[in-house]
Amino acid sequence: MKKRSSFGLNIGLSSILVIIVILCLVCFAGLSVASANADYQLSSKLSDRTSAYYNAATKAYTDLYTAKESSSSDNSFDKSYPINDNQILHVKATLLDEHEGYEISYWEIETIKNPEIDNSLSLLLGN
Amino acid sequence: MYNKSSKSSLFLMELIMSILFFSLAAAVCVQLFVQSHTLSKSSVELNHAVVECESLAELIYGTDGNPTLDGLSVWDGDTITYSYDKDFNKQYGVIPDTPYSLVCNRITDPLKPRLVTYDISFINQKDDKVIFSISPAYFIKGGTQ
Repeated sequence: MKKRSSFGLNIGLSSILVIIVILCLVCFAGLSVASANADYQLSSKLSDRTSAYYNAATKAYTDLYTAKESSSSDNSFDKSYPINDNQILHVKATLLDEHEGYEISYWEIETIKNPEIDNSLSLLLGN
Repeated sequence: MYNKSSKSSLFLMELIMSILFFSLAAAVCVQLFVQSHTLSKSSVELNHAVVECESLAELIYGTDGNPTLDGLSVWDGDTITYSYDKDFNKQYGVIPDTPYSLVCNRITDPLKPRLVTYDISFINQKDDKVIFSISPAYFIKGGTQ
């Protein structure tokens, strides 16, 4: 009986082991990068939102200062400043006499758009 | 004898190929792990920077533009500096060899003396890089400055 000669790459236990280890490494590395990237994007969104809020607050105080300096007869101040597409900073204040400055009666972040809720899945309501 | 030698050489060949592929894959994966570690560190720094800057801005708003009313902060000219260690523990004043610092510069326009802008920056001292900064303005009511 003629013995079969085997040329080419042999797949043995070590190769299988290496393939499994490489697959695990790639999976964990991918998951790690995805998780870190998601965290960084969330942090960036938070920082952008914080910057936008303080820009709106700065505009509010600047307008308050301008209103106070303009010495008009109207002592009430009521203005809104956009923070982003969904939120505004609503400020209400009373301008007092020369030395007392002003009194802020309302300083709130208001949501101007209702969030779009995904109702495409017909879930059980439980009743 | 010939057969045994051939089998050994084949096993050696397989082992060499496995080590080669493992090295290549490990090099790529280590790069990915390093990238994710750097990103993660940046996120932690940015989160702390945002919180500390926001905290100081709210202190300024709450103390009518004078954050030294907390009893620990001190104006050095028109600047307040806080130092942070690697775990972001806050220390008051300029402390050398700390990795992070929070600097607040007070900018006053002579034409609008009661409308003060506070330039607040959280800085990585190693590469002098600003991680996060805000510039809130505040209309001082008066009396406490």
